[in-house]
Amino acid sequence: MEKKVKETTKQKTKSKPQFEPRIVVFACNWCSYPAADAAGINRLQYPANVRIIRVMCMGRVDPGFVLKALVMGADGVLVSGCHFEDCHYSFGARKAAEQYKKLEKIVHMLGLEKERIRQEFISAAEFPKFAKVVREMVEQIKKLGPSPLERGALYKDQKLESEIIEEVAPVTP
Amino acid sequence: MMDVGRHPNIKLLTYSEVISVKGKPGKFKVKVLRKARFVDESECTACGECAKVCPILEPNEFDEGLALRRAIFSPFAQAVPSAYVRYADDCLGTNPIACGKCMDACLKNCIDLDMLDEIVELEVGAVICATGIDYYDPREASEYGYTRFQNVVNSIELERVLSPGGPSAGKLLRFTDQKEPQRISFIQCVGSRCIHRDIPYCSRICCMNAMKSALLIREINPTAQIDIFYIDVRAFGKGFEQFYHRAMHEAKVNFVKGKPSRIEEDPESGDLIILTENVETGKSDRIRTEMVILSEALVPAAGSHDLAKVLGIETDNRGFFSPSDPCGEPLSSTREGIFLCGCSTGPKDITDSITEASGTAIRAAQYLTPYKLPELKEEIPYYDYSGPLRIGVFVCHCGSNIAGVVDVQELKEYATELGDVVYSDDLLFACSESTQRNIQEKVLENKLNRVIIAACTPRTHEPIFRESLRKIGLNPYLFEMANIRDHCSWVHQNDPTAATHKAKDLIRMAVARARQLEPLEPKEMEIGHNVLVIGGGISGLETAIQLARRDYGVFIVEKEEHLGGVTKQLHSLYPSAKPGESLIQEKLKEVYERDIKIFTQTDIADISGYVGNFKVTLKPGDGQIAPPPLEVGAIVLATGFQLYQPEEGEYGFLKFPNVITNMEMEKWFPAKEKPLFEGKPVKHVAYMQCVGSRGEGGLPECSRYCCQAAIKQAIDLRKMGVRVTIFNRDIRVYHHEAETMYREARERGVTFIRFTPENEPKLIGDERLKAIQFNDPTLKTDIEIPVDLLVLSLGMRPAAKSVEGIQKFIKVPLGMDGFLLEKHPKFGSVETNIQGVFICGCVQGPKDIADSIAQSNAVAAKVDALLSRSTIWMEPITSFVQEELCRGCGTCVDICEYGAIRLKDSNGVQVAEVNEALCEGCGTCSTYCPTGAIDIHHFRDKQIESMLEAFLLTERSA
Amino acid sequence: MQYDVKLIQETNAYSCIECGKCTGACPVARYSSTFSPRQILTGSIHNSHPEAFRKADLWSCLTCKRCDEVCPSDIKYIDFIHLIRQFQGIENREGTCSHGGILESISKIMMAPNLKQQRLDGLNGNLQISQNSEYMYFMGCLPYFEVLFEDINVEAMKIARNTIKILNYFDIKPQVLSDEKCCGHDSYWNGDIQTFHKLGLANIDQIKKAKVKKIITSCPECYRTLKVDYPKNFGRQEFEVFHISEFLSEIIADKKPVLKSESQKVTFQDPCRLGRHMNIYEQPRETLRSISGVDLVEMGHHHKRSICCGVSGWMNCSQVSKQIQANRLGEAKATGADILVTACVKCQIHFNCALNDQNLGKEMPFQVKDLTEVVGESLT
Repeated sequence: MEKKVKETTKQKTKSKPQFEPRIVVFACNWCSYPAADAAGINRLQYPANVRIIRVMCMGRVDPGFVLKALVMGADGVLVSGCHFEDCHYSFGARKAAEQYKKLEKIVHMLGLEKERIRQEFISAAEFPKFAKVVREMVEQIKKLGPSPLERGALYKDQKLESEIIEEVAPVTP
Repeated sequence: MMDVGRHPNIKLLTYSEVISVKGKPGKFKVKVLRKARFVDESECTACGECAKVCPILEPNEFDEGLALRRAIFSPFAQAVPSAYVRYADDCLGTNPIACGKCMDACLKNCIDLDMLDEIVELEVGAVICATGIDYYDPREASEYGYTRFQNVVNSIELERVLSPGGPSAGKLLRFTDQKEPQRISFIQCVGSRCIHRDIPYCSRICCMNAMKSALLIREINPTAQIDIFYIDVRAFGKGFEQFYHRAMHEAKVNFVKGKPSRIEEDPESGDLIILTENVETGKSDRIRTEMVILSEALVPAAGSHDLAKVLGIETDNRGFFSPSDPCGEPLSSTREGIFLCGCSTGPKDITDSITEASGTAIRAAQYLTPYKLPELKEEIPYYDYSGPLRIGVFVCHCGSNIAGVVDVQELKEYATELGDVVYSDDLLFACSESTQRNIQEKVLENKLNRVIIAACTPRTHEPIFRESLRKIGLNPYLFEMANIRDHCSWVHQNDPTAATHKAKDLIRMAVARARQLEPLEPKEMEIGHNVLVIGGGISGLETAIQLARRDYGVFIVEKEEHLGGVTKQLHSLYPSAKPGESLIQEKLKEVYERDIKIFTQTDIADISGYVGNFKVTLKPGDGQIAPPPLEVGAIVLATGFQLYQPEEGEYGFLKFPNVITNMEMEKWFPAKEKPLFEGKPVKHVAYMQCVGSRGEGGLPECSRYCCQAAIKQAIDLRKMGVRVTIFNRDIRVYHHEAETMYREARERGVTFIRFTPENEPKLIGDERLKAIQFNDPTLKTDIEIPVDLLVLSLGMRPAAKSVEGIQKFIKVPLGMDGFLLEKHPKFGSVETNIQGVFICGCVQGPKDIADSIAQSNAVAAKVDALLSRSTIWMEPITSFVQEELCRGCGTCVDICEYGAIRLKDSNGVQVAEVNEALCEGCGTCSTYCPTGAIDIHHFRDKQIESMLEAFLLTERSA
Repeated sequence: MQYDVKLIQETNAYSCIECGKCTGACPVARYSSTFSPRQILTGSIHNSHPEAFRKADLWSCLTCKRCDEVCPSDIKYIDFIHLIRQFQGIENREGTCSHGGILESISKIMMAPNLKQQRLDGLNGNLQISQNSEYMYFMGCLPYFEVLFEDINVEAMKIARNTIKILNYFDIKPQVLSDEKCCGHDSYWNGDIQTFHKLGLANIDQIKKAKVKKIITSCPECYRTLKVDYPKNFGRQEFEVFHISEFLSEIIADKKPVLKSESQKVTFQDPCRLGRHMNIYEQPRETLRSISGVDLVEMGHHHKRSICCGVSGWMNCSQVSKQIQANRLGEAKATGADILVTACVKCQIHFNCALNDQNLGKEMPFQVKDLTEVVGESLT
């Protein structure tokens, strides 16, 4: 029974034409989000693997959000905001960089590839950079393959869990 | 443009001309000719159906003829108004050949081929001319072969070509063979700084523009050689010198001093041969290049002369409008009530133009009502948005912008499958006025309490949609946009399947977020109508006067004994040769007349409060009684600069008695009829430019004033018969009158010697400076010239002490150069990141007097815009503390650079408290909060996490 | 998960006589006017309506076991809380994860079977570990804490280094798992039983492969989880589990090593998991007493009546936590001790966080140290 399940999942992955990474982008309202808009206005083409979540400032991006995205199975997370000197809130980007250093260490320690997360400073004028970074990131992650935490399997996998629970008979101490 | 287009107080009359202005300031009668556009502006949704069927093809003016347009068209995607226009001359019309296809294609019947020109009469208080510039036609400079050689293009064509949305989609290809050029050469000053082309002035923008284009080219082609042929590199604005260094060192742009004399074409390859002398090496060269960009001059807008006649104002001999006093009144025309800004008075970059534009706004306002605007009362109906979630999703086609790529029908159906979504619809143009009404009706009909519009970017359209929801009583913060155009259909044009899939995700994410949204109410706050100006130099005085004219109560605080600052010490001002003292006296006269309160010899002891409600405590000088604290609505920082203090021995400073600074020289002038220094006659004066400016890596930057100031003094010296040599690194006279002054100096025999930091002139002398030795690159020898007096042109530096003093109370950030950092280098050069605190003059960066005055007007306009109401509305997107979770650790207090959070006592324990008036809503505090007690309205943890879940985990059912 | 009456019955919850003694003893209730263990219990069992126990308060319980100690009906209250949280499910929880949920995410990411952690970078060269010892040192989440709590002056890896140093001193070169997972303690007590299972099984698998007989932990939570909750959930295990204080008190009694320190007064914080949960009160005290120069004094509340450090499972850290901490730190101050010794890294983190408050920090004249650090420094 178990074997069969494994086989079908294998087939499933085989029949998938190509691995399409799912990448979360946090972009600040003042620089990187408008840069993404400008990439659109200028019709710069980039792969459709990213979903942009707008925040007011990069400083708002709690490392906890990035880790949660990874837990939920994101193949990559990009945190993008203003250059230090352009930061709308003057200190937010600097603080974000501080937090990001911690995050990098944690992600490294957990054994995830460092390329899965990325911090970028992209001003509103640097829309080609935005498109470039997205292209690079998609390519890099395609090379790495799906996240080891694929599809939020760890988050909600009710069936598997209940099986485990049944397997183990409670032991009275 | 969007802001102008939708502002309730702005009426746009495009495609129109002013034909007469009669009456007096405050009550002008203006006749405007509105040319027929043949399309009903209020009805047209810019769907583009008419253009699709139009059989006519004409070169598109917007793309410099590099692309085509129809006879009925919209010049570019973001045009305001977005309504199409029909050019009657291009159109076939209905007679004699019956075409009229566009009329059939227009579903809304807004095309009217019988529309006639009309004359509109307006009554206005003041007139502002912002008529801009035109580009010089480089065909006149026939030596460069523009239009004869296809691979010679002008800068505006390059601008369109490099635009990814432009005619070649951002690819730079040669016109002859469609190949990517491997060597691109910019030629500067095409037309500019050339008497016999009647453009004696500097066009001001082209140096930086060429560098910017060079950097863009470098991005798309990392290997191409890029040359810029120049006479002087005029990188004089804030941040420009650093940009110049980036172009040189990062982008490896090859700067060649020398203006080419001629371009020849190799007909076989299409390559171009540039004939030039490299002025630095003295060699004449034939340089083979693959593409040439001409940086053509800026010339007065066509029709300026005619307009000047209509307006009854003077122009200079080139056709730019003349200010009434180029130094003291740069924004006033020669007719009262008519003001000038931007390039209408001479070439200018965007920053300077915007500054002037803001400045004219305050001048015009002085002819209108006093500052207090009537309070608008509006009736908002009650709408009950509580109760279980009822989400409505509207998907916009944006004409074919979205629908051309993404399957909108599929999205609409998909939306209904999502939990809590009770209604979904698709709209041709969500933003059009009739559709807005439709959305309002649908919201009421379906009792929606969350609304999602999947369309374009919230950055431009969120305010529009929020406003229409607010009008029907739905809280505007219960609205969410999914950006399926800018972030989807436009950037995935070649993959409709993926784009549709992504658009579904984006809508699902928006729905998830919408479920978590909470209604927010902006807070109304009373504000004070007094203004504090810190600094009593020319900038401070001008700001104070402009605000006092609008009836605001103004205070000036000056730490010195007298008002007038540096300007007062200047012997004469260019180009009018008026003494600085008399300009200050003029201003002071008005300051006293208008009852502006002045505190000299006074410092700031404390500033507390926030926008609209600052409380300022003053610290008077010795022996004075402290005045009661000032209560002001806004604070303007105009504390100026300090001159660079050379180190001992730097260019002989303090080592030789006959080495002095340019300020000392300025004081030397008035008393001396004969050129005597320490009693001895002076025969030869040398100037050393850029002392303390233009440092390594571009810091410190160019001080902007010193070239013109040295030339002004040099001319005066020449008039006394003194020989003058100016050692310079580039002559950066950018003002269009200043170039004339520079020419005059040359004509009068002032010698200009250029040097580089690697090859500095040497000072010779023991007790006194006797001579200066320099290396002449063309002669390749050292030359020694005798010098009686050396004047050091000192750079402007931030006034560190006063800046520090202010930063103790207000955390206005500093730029890398040490000057106070403006909110935005182009669009917010007088605002700071703290609401209600403004900057102007040299506290923001080096400036001359005219620029400082223009900026002072701009700052007054911004203050006026802020304080012209009795209350202001505070954005409700701020952080807030959930007190029960707060452990009072104070991390957030330390993090917040706005000083918006403090600890307070609550039932015996410390908890954080947010001052909503100071909070800007960045949310950094929330990231640092260990317990999760601080959260941000509208960007709450759960709102962000819900989007992650919606994207990454399968949608939870309702 | 289904609300299972049978499981609830096993905790004796239905025997509650509604006396409220638990609330009186509860450290949270002392500072929170809304919190009451009794109300949570009665609300949950009498009112089967889920809203009754959906309140955030459910997640404020520290499971410190003070109530169990005082309950006249012998209710296993903390087991009851564990069950209710489990029934409630993490998706419906109203509690707030501290530190943006980073720690919860870390343990979840560790579940991924094909991830190899890089967690041993903080162990320096002088320490000896081996591949074949019968001892294993189960390090816990120290490497992660080291990164996260650097800015409140907690050097978490010091505990790991000192523990290995102590073991080496007694000629033990323990095995250390390079891919050790979180023990699952926090998931277990926060009701996320699925994560607990995955982590637990992964650890057990690795421990089996390492063929060790004795596991030493420096963290009381790992200790309890490995010793009690693993067998309860995954069946009897082949290995024995010791907290480092147990190990120390035994080996010191046996080998009588010379432990010296400068003369200092110390007081000891009983971690809930070590004391009330596992009944280990004397071993750490004996260990401390065996160091010459150390003068051990007790705080106002000690042994069974000891007070928790204020937060458990990285949930609902709040004003209440701060007050519990401030109170406990005040007790420590009153002893006149130079060092507040704990045997749990989390106690250290939570106390240090409170001391990071400038006002409170100034008042408190002592340092917070882990037992292993004090012992490590006394080794000659």
